[in-house]
Amino acid sequence: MGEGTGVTRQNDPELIAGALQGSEKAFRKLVERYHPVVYSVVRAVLGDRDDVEDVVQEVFIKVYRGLAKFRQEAKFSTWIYRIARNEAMNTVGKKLVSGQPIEEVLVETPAHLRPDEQFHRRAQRSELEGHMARLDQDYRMVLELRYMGEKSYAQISETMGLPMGTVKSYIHRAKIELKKLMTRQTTETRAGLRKP
Amino acid sequence: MTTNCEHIARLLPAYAEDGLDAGDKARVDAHVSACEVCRESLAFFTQLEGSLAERHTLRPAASASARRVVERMGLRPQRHAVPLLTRFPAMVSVALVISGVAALLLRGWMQELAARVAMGSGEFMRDLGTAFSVLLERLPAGMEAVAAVNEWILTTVYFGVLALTLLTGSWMVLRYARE
Ligand SMILES: [Zn+2]
Repeated sequence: MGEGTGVTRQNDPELIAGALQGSEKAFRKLVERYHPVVYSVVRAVLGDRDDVEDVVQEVFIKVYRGLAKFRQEAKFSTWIYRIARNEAMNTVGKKLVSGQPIEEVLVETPAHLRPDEQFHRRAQRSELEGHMARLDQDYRMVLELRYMGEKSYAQISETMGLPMGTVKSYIHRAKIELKKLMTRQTTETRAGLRKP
Repeated sequence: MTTNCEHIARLLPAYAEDGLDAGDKARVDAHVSACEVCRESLAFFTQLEGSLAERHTLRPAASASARRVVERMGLRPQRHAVPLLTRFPAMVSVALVISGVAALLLRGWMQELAARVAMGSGEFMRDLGTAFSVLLERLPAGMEAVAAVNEWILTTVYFGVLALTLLTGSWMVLRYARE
């Protein structure tokens, strides 16, 4: 989705071969192509943290170093997905997840909105961010790949190595779960309930 | 909520992302128009879909990230640098072509020079020319045959190597150019 469809578009094996021959350009193209996937995966594991992009770059450095070991029988997206997931999980283990306050999440809001609308939009997004953090990791993973990474069901299925039906049902269940979380919060707020 | 509501509720996320077939879509439409609970539920999923659809704007630009990765790894941009392996056969074939042409031209020129010098202009040059032509004349017949065979072998080897390097050179340049 949204990827170049020009005539000169090279396929993964060509870019991998180029990168292995030391072509900086080929490797840069690979990074650009897989950035949405890697970013989504890292974000799904770590949540909204300052070091997400740092971890993303670590992933690509690992990818480069492991490129010679990549077997073409496997899908490159699946291979890269595993590296990204492992790297992000290791980061969780190393540094304590600080649980950055949701209020500080910096999100861009469309400029054409009135200030109060912008505030509302920002609050909505922060809320969503907070609820997503409470989902199961698999649910969060499919949601991030779908919306953060703008990947199709087929691409997610290939990347995660899951049947397409499973991906679909994960996404729908994740949304139903989000609804439960958001509705529960609304009722709690209405009833004046606060977590101890 | 009726049993029908439960069935419809499961379809609502897919409805909101426009992923239902015509039959299911019609069923949801019919139900939602009559059921307020499911209508509100659908409104939620539609709004959620809108929020999620904006999520990709939080992602940093891939090109900037790629540039930083490459910088961090110390990979140097080498856009037009042709690898040595590609350059070598090309250089060898160029050298062979030049030296071959030069040898052919020079051969004719040398013979002409020797003939002219032999015809005489200046004593030293004449002597030199005479010595040269005498040397050529006195080459034994056998040597000439050897020279002819040698020439034949040399020519074959020469053109063989030339063809080989030209082929590998152009193949590698073509392959590299596709990058
Ligand atoms: Zn209903």
